[in-house]
Amino acid sequence: MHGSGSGRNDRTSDSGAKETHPVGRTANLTYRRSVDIRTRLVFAFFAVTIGSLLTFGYLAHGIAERLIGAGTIDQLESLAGSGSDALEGIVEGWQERVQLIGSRTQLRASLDEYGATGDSAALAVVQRILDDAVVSVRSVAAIAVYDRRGNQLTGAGTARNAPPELLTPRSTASGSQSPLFLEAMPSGEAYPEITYSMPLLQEGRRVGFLFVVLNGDRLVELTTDTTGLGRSGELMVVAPDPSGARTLHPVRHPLDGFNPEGPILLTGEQDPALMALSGVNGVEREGLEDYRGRSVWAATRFLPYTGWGLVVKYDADERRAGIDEFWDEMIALALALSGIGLLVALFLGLRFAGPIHDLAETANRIREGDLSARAPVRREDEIGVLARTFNQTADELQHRMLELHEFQKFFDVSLDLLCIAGTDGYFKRTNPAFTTVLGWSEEELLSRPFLDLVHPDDVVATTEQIERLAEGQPAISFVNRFRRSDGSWIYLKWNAYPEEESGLMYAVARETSARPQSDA
Amino acid sequence: MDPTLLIKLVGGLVYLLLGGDILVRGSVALARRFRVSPTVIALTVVAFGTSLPELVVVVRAALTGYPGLVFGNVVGSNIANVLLVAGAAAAVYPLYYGERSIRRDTLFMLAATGLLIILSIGGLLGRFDGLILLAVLAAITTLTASEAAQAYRDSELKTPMEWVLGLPTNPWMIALFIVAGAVALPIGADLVVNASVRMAENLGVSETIIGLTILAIGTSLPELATTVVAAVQKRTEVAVGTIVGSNTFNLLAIMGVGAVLSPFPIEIPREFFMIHFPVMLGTALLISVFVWLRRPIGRMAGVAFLAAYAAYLAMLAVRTVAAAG
Repeated sequence: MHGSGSGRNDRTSDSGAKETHPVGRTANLTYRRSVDIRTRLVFAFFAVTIGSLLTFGYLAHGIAERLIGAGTIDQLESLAGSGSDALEGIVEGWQERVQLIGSRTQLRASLDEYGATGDSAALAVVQRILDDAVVSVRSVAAIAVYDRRGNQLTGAGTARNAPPELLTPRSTASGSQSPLFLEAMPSGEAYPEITYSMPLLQEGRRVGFLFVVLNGDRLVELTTDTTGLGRSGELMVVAPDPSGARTLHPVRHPLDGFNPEGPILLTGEQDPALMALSGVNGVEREGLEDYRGRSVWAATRFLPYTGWGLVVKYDADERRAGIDEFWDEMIALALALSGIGLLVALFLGLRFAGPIHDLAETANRIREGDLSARAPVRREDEIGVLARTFNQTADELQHRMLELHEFQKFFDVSLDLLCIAGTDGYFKRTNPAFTTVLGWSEEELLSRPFLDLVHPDDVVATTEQIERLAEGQPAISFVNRFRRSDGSWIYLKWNAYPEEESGLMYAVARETSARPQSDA
Repeated sequence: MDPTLLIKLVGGLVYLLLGGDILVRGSVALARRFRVSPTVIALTVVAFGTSLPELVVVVRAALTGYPGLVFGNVVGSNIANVLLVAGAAAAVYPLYYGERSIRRDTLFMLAATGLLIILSIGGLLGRFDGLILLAVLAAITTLTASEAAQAYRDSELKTPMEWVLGLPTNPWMIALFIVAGAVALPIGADLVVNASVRMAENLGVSETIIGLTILAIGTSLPELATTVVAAVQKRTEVAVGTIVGSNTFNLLAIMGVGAVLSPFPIEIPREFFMIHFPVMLGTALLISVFVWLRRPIGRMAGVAFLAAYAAYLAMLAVRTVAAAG
């Protein structure tokens, strides 16, 4: 930009050295009264650049939003899938543990023996087995053994949520010997407790029931693992509740508006927790809010065996943060690129509009009277042709002006009277000889009809002559008398030629001693 | 390195330089429209306006908490003005001194340099220090007002940009110039500061280094261009005066406004006392000695200045590598 500017300065100083015309400075100011074409070009180029870049950025933003959105949905789906697989694994593990305890032959044999004989030694064996299981089997919080009529015989370990009223064994009618999931109870900030029951059979007879309360440490591990969930995302396991749904584990943002008593995990037009519980597997991204009141996207899974729901959610803001950052970056880049575009525009403006600018300046200088001004011809494109033509025209103009100047001199020094007159009867222009010969100043001559100066006796002939001239016939050697400023009369012999287009007469006169034709 | 940073830096510099220019142009046009005297315009709008790019960058850097950029830019600009700008111009054509007041102006520059260093002792430059710098600027401006006005009348805004844009007279165009300039400057500052900081992160160097080199050279580009162009045209009488004036203005006005506007005292990195302040003082003394001896800065001296600048940059590079290693 500065390089080009310097070129401009160079030319100015060069032309300044040659230039002698006093109005050069005024000529420069003329085009600066408004913003010149180069500036307009720069502004226009900049507007186009930034406009197209911002449009591009806006469109790219939309695309990015869609792609990131799709990616998020995929990610939520995959997290929900792997989450529900893991959860199923955990549930199976629990079941296996209950099975492991319930399948101890000695437990069932001793229970059978106790039921038959009431031998306290047999009950002691049962008690020992239970104590042993609480210590050695992982996740077991408490175990209780009931006789086949539903009376508790013994137990081991401690459970916060004692299951007395649940002890109407649902499996009574069943001949199955597999563990049955009964319920899961949330327990504040600690592990949830999951209760299983299992009928104990000995030789095909039911000898009692086993109740096992497991702590949900694996469940909590699963839900507190935030891998792939970003800064805010959560994986939640929800269980049905009289009021709808409740979580089975501590949440990720317990201090951020979480109410452990609050039955509703997520609010929205369609609660994903309820959706999950009602067996919907899918992703929801519109109109969801979590317990913090934040807008979230969520994926849901239903787990048929336990009747639980799995919800994986992201904060919409967090997903949007990436898109917003992308948008900010796009705007910054669009602006920066437009800045570089501006530099290019400046260069192009100087390159393309510069010669036009020079032409305008040159034309202006010629108008101001500096006929030697010429536009620089630096290129062979249209502008170069224009500059060349312009310069040729200027050459011609200068040549003509020179000729004119020469003729002007003849006009001025002629002894003969030279004039231009109109058919309206007025002189339009007279040469100095008029003043010398007749004594009238040029103003006096131009300001009155020339017939005023013609001798009254010649007025008729002169009028006729003018009419003939108006019809296009030249007047040769016509003589009439003109009044001098001192009042004396002088005979003038005229040659006059009409010019039809302009209605002007070009006439030459000189003093003559000859009398007018009418007198001759 | 991330190419977007380079794009942002260059684009930001364009915004800063063009934005500052058209804002000055619009303001001058507006002032003329309201028949403000050219003297007042010269002393206010033009004087401050031509340093706007540095000013907005420094304010932006101070506000966002990058003191290394603030000091780096000002100190680096002053060093670059002497060694790079004067050096490059002198290598083209010897620098002579036209102005009678040039000796006194070098004293002002040395005093301003000393004042900034003294105020910086203690490691913090606060709002009160900024006020002191601005008060000294006001005093110097008052002392030299009539000469500055005269110089302005003689020169009449002869920046290269004027040839491109001219002064608007249509009220809408004046408004467009002012608004476009006022919008472009902060955008440019934001882009430049942002790109500089991230460039420093990417290259693993301090912001100070970026401020001293890339940013300082970037904001000195217009001076470099005008001075070298003037040298090519063998019109070097005002070059040294411009450099001395610009350095004084950088120290008093840019640092002053930066320190006053910064919401907290600007912290001065230790390396400034060890290296950059002495180098800045040294370059100020160097050019002052030439002025006082009335010796034109010749081609050989110019080349030597450039070599010294290259050595300074090399020293920064070596220190950076050594620090990284």
